[in-house]
Amino acid sequence: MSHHRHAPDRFDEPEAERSRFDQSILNRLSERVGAPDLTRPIMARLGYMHVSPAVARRRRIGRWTGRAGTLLAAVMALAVGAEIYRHSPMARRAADTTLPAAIGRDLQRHHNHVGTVIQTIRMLAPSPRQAAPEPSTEPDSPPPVDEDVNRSIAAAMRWV
Amino acid sequence: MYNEMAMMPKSSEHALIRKARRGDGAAIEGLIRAHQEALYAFLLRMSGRPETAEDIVQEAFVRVLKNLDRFDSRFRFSTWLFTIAKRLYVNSIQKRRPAYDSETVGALEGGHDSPGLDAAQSETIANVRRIVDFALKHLGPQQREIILLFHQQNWPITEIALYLDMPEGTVKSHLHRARRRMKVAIQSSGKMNRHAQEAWS
Repeated sequence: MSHHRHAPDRFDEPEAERSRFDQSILNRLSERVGAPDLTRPIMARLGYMHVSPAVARRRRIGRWTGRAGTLLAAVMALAVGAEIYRHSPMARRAADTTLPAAIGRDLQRHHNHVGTVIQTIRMLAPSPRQAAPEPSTEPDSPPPVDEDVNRSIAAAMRWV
Repeated sequence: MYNEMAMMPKSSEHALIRKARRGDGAAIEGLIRAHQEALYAFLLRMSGRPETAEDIVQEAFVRVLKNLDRFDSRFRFSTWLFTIAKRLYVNSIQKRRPAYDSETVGALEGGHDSPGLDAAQSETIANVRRIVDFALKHLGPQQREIILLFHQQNWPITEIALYLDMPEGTVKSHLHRARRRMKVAIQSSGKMNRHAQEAWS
């Protein structure tokens, strides 16, 4: 049987109030009851379980093996996937050309463009033949005759 | 006595809680072992049903330990645990009316008699247990709770006031009235009064 345990500062009830009733009846309440040990079911519900060291070691090995297996399977799946993709028509292939080749191609394109521009300018510019027609090299040939002779002569003179 | 954890310095208790938060199984087990018996005894007296007490103890620990990150270190772990357990108990009695089984409660207490006691002493102890059961049945839930927290769990008035969210004066008043009520109940029952006189003599 336990005795009155309360320190005076815990409950400032007058001493006279503390009767035999308190001491012999109420202090009975603090007696231990036959409480079941609920540690294991609570720990189990929280995901903890008591196992022997051998079982724990076996499970640890199993866990690591499982992790390694999963990792290996993932790596293999990735490798197979990458290989399938590489051979599929959907694969985006990198151009064979490298940077120097690309620059060379660009230069070539520029060169062609410049060539086209030069050609165009040549075509547009008046040619020397058009600017001053060369005199005929044939001495006996008649002078060129205008189609409308009336226009090229003075109005007072007319061929009749 | 059920105040073993109360004797543990608050810093040690908090260190244990910090470890338990990190998933340390030994720390979690330590917390359960330190509080389960007190909580079970409290709930057994409150409900009068061992199976109810057992279920609520389990559920309360699971909830508390799963939510350790919500624990406010200004309070004691036991205060928080008992608050959760009380809520669960209130929910359980809303589902079904409790039937206080004093025979079972008495039988559970009887398992801890000292082996050296003679028949007369054992009889006296058994009678006192009957008186306690009888008197507790005459209290309302709140008065019973206060009596149990003070006399069974050995909680100080300040902690009971904090737990019940009421002024300390009100707790003392409830405690005083509950004790008087228990006395009157015992004295008004001829049989119990006789047992009580025997116990006091």
